[in-house]
Formats: sequence, structure tokens, C-alpha cells
Amino acid sequence: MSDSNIHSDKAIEDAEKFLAVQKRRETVTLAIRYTILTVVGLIMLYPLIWLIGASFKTNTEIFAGAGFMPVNPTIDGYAEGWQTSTPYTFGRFFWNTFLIIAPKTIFTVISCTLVAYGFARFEFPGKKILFVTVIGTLLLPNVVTRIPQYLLFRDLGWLDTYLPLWVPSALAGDAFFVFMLLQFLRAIPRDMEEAARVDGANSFQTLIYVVVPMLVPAMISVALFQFMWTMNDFLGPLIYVSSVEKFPVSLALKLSIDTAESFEWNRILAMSVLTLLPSLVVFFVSQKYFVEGISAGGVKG
Amino acid sequence: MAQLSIRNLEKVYSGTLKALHGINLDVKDGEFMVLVGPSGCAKSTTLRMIAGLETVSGGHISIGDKVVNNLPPGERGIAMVFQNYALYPHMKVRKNLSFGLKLAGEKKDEIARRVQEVAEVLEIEPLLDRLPKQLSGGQAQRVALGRALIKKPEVFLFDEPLSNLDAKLRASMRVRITDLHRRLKEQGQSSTVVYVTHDQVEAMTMGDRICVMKDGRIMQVADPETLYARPDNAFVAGFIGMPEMNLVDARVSQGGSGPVVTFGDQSIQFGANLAGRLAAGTDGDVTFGVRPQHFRLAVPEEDALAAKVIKADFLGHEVDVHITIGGERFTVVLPVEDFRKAAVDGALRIRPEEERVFIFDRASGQNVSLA
Repeated sequence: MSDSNIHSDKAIEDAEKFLAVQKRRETVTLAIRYTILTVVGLIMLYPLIWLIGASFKTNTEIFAGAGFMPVNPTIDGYAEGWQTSTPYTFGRFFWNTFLIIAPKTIFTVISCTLVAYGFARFEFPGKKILFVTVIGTLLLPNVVTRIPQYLLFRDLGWLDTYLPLWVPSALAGDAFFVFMLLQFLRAIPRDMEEAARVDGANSFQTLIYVVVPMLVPAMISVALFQFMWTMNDFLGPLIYVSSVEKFPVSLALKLSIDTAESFEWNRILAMSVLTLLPSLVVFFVSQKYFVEGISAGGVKG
Repeated sequence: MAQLSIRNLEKVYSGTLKALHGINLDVKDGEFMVLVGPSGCAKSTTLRMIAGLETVSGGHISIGDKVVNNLPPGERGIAMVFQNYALYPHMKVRKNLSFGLKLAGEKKDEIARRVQEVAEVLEIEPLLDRLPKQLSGGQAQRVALGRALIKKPEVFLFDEPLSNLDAKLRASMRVRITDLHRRLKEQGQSSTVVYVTHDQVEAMTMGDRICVMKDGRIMQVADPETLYARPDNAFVAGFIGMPEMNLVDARVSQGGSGPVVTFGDQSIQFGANLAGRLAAGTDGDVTFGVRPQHFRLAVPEEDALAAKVIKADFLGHEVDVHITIGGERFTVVLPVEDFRKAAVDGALRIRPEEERVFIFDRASGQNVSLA
């Protein structure tokens, strides 16, 4: 084709027309995509939105319709729910939850980091068998170990304490986290650690000064997962904690359903909203690291 | 004193795979020793064993007068510059430099003074408060160099430190490193260097001596000039020099005035020089070696080789001419004018310079023309 043909008015007009069609098509597909995303997103979020709305409704209004906007908004649900039907306020249950979550999260991060570092960076006899054992526990359903664990903790005199809830995790009992950190560590080149060794650091100093700072995103992910899972754990406390004064929020929520003769649903919903808050806040605050941690580790959350 | 001595050093992987076959090497105090060789020759393994990053399977390494086999890297009196810089990504340049001193328990004032001193020498003062990710390759390599320098080690170890830089920067860093080495030496500081590279230009331009390695064995240790002019074996001869030496199968026989070398259907008579150098009893199949630069055009009546030109690469001032002689391929470097004048119908009459040809034993590759 000659130059004059390429640049003829007709050709330019055609090209512009094509561009305009292409642009219009892009706008339309974009609009369709966003509409679908918004609708599906709303469907998925609606129970949560309804929960928040319903927590401000009166008991009678809750079952009046599926709408989430309260007609006569009230905070009675929060005020009364906070008092609970026990001698303790809901604050006490939050504190109890904190007493489980704090040591569990902190020690999980520390112990899993140590174990993952060991597996990732050192050669020792029996390493393969030990690693297979750790990963094997991942595949074992929790329910299988419930009874032997219960008997063990009973013999140790740990029933009705928080120890059974966090001590296993403090000893790197959560194989999933070990595996997640291990995958992350494998992606970090060893050069920096070797440089630290040449600089005179021992293995522990290398871990603290060089590896941990690079591992922070993964460690935050571990902490977040552990935080959320512990916050939501119902079965663990149900099995091991029997005194009401030691109940975490997950049990306390159930308590309000058990004890009231006619369920005060707005109180239950209000307290459910409060129970959700810590996880949501923690997640949004550390979202950046969380996404970085799970994506870089090659483990999809 | 910071001489480094390696005796019968061996490295065996997984019980069977021998990577290093009992090498011996002495690096004198203040010497710049380059380990060079193709990929997989165990040069980096050797360096990492000196550093203490790899275990020793046999033999021993001593730095100064102490055997360091079982010492952790930090206690060996070494500093290392890595190929990928290996700067601590979360620490600013200042902290990267001072990390080793801090671990060694140096006082804060002393650390600050040394950081300043090193930063001045390497011109990295404006970078002290930057993170490694904010540095260019050249800057990062200078910081890595600073991290080694600040420790005032007995032996500096370099593991292909320039291979991630572009050609221009590589040339300037080469000068900077050799200059630094010279200055340390002049100041009477420990300046023994072991430098690993696969780049022969780096090796030839930087090393006081060069150790050429192949398959976990040392092929020759010598200064650059000796390596070039008197290679011990065919491997060193082929490895050092650009374009690489022509190494071709040939036959040697005794003629009237000296040895006669035959390639296929062509022969050339050499004289007293080669006859004098050649080991007694050299006869029959050999490997003949001559560098592309060591051919000259033959004068008309002279005994010469008739070469067929296959291809000529013009490089401006000279031409790399690819030729065949008696079925064997050679490369010859000739001045452009000479080539234009002499090449008639794709043919050349050339002669290797007798003083600079080598004969290698075909089986062992040993140079038998060095006497």
C-alpha cells in the first residue's frame, strides 16, 4: 500500500470511527462489569448491612420486614445487651477474649517464625521426617485430636483456664502458619543472611536483625489470621471454659440466647456487631501488610 | 600479616559429588588474587569456603597464622562483597555500613567516625540516609564495598561484584577497586584480596596474580603476563586472550632445520626457536596453539600456509579473519590495510610467529613447548 493511501481522508475517518466504536464498547463493558460487581457485592454484604441496621431496631420491628433501615432507631439494644443477663457486663467478656487472643497471637508469631526459620535455613538430621510430621498435622481433622487433647489438659489441671486455648499455639502448633512463613522465607534470597554472618551475626542475631524485618508482612498476616480465628472460635472455649466469668465473647453471645426466655434479638444483634468490630478494625488497619504477606508467601488466604 | 593459605581443600556434596579436588593456593599479604574460570569450576565455592559460608570437606584454610576451618565467618577476619550487593533492605545506608561494627561492640563515636571515613573514600556521603531500594546499581555496589571496607578485615573477598553492572559502570568500578586496593596497600593496611570473576578482562586488568580454575582444579596460578605468554596448558591458553587462541589438531615431525607441523595436507617448517623449546621426544599427534594476533603475512619466497578465507569481521582498525588451513579452522587478526592488500580471491599466505606458537600434548593438554 502506498503512503498516500494510508493517509487518505477516508482511511483516517475509518480509523477514527473504529477508535470511537472501541471506546464506546470499553465504556459499556466497564459499566456492565461494575454493575455486576456492585450487585453481587451488595448481595454478599447485605446480611452484614442488615445486621448493623437491625441492631438499631426495636425487637418488634426486626421481623416486620427485610429492609435494613430502622424506622425508629434506638440504641436500647446496645445499652441493654451490654449489661447481659449475667452479673458481668459485655466488657468483661471482651477482656476475657483479649486474655486469650493476646498471648495466643503473640506467641504464635514468635514460635512459628522460629520453627519456619529452622526448617527454611538449617540442615539437621531428621529434618524431612519432622517437616512431614508438621505438615501431616495440617491434614488431620481437628475433631480427631479433641478427646485426647481434652484428657491431656484435664490431667494437667488446665480445665476452666485459658491455657488449653493458647499454649498449643505458643508451641508452633498451628502448622498452617509454619507453612505460610516457610513459603515466604523460601522466597527471600539468602544473600542478606550470609552478609550478616560475615558481619559477625550468629543465627539468632541474623534472625532478629535481618530475617524478621523482611518477614514482617508475613508475620502480620499470621497475627491477623490468628486474631480473627481466635475471636471467632466457639468450640475451643465451649469445651475448656466452664465458668461464666471466664467466658469470651463467642460464648457470651450464645449465653444471651440460652438464658432469656423470649429472645431479645436486638440485644443479640447489637452485641454481634460489637463482636465483629475488633476484627474489622484490625483488618483494615493492617490491610496493606496482610495482602502483601499472603500474596508474597504464595499462599492464598 | 594476612596471607591466605589453602591446603588440599576439598568440597564434596551429598557424599559423592566432588566439586573441589584438593586445591593448594597461597595468597600473599597485600596481594590481589583473582579466581577465574568458567561456570561450575568451583571458584565461588572456594571463595565461600574461605568466607565460612560453606563447610570444608577436606584440607584446611588459614588466614594469617590461624587455621579458620571451624571459625564462624564473623571471626575469620574477612569481609565479603556479594554479586547481588546483599544490602539489608530495611536499613539505611548508614546502618548497613555500621551493622558489623555494632555487632562487634564498637563504641558509637568510633562507628560514626568510620562510617564517615568510608563514605568519604567511596563518595557515598549523600546516600547515607537512603534505603537500598533508593540506590542505583553502582551506588549499591559502592555501599556494599563500604560495608566490607569499614570492617578493616585481613582479607577482602569479592564474589563477582561487578557482573550486575552495565559495561561502562563496570569499567569505572574496576578502576575504583584497584585504586582502593593500591591506597590501602600504601597506607600499610591489610589489603589481601581474593576476587572471583568469570570475566577475563576483569581478571587480567585487576589481578596481581590470577588463578585459573576448571572443574574444581587449579589449572595455573600466575601473573597476567605469564598467563598470556606462557600458558601451562591448552585450557589456560584458550581461556585467556581475546579472540581466544586457535587450538587445532596437528602432527609434529622432525624436519631438517627444526620441527615440522602438519595440518591436514599443509605443513610448515619451524626453526631453532621452537626446536629449543619443545620437550624432548615430542612427536606425532599434538594440539597446536597460536593466538589470532600472532600471525603475519608471509613474504613471497617464504615457507607459508595457504589459508582459505571463510569470513572477515571488520572491527575498524583490524579485521578478524576466519580461515581454514588444511581443513582446520583458525581465526587471524590482521590490520585492515594488510588484509585488503593480501587477500587475493579469498586466499591468504600467512605464517604463525614462531616465538609465539605453542605445542600442547593432545591427551593431557600440557604445554610441551615451554622449556
